Amino acid sequence: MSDLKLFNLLATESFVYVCTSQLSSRNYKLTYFNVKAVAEPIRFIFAYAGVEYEDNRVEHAQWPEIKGTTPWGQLPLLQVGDKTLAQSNAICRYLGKKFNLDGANEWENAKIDEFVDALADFRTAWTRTFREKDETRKSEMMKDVLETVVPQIFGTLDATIAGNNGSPYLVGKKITWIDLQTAHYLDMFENLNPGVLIKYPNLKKLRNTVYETDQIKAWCQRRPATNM
Amino acid sequence: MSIKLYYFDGRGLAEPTRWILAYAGVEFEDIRAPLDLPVTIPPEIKAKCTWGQVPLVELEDGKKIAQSLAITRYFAKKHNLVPEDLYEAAVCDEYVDSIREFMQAWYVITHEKDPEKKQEKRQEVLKSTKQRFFDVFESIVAKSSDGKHLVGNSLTWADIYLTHGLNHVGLVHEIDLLNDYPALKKLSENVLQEKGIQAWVQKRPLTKF
Repeated sequence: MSDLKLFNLLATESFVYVCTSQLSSRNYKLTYFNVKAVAEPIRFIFAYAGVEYEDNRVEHAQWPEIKGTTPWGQLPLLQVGDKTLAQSNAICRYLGKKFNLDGANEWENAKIDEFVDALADFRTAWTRTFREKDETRKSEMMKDVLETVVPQIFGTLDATIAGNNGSPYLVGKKITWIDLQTAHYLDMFENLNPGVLIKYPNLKKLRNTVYETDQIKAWCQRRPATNM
Repeated sequence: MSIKLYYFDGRGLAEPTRWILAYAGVEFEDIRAPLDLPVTIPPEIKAKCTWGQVPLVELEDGKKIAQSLAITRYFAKKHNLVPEDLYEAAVCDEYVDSIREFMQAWYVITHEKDPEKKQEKRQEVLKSTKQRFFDVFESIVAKSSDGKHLVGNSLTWADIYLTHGLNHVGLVHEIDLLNDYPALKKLSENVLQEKGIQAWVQKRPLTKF
């Protein structure tokens, strides 16, 4: 092979990509089930930051033997070298800071914490409906989510962006991990409740902004297709 | 203007913040709404609440933070109770989230009205929280370098939160959880001996929750 051809081969993106991916995927391993759910905000952070990681998805059949090896009997679990970290938002906050996807100061980080917990309140009310067996009770609960919880929480988040000095993000001037997480849950919720974002134009715009970034677009195209 | 903390007349989700402010020797207005059933936040307080919930804190400059963990973490960071090292800080988050999970598991018992079912639930919850949480925390503290901290060798908000969690569940359900856990007992005593926290725990209003 001529020197020029060899040089071109070595300089191609794919070669560099393979090298860096092998280097850094030794560092991070995320274990979760083969669904999006609470691991997806973590996957979005890796995707947006362009950091390689091992996206380890366990089958439900494997879970019983793995469960005992996890600190709290739950997933997701992040392994960073030989250290482990559990609890999805602890993981998001850690990676958010590491990859410069956190707030610009302590105040902004406190607001991010506030919003992620408000979002968790929404998720709790929503996911409770999945577990309800009685159909009548289930639709009552869902009605309450749509008529009470969503206006309170989506409404406040939407107003937060509106009041953020022209920024399309929830906190500060640049995208942070709370924007990535919120966009994911908004998208999941809207898929099941089409039109719900019409009343929340700033949230709709946030979701679109996140999903239209090259990194998230590429991730959504290559991630495994799963229902939840 | 002083810091204002709005919550119910109870320990609940505001107590860890009260402990941290007490530890730091920071004055604050401890505003308490009556805790009656059905649970209602007085309209003049609710109007301030971003998400319609308490606790809420108003800082000296009037800025607000809602969501109890966001509030607690903010003051923890301000008063050197969050480790500098990012990984250690993340582990504190992990532990506090896990403490919240066991507190939530015990909270479920409170809703059960039937005394027999309540007793059954209590046994179930005790067994599962021992296995999933208390045994795990005991092992973490027992293995720690000084035998009395969850993360590193100095006090963090995770130690304070755990002490409160065990104390609160113990008080509500009238159970001595520390009896079976010597390392947790040592951690707890260490936290409760902190001057500000000790004084606060002794003078705080005595409430069921």
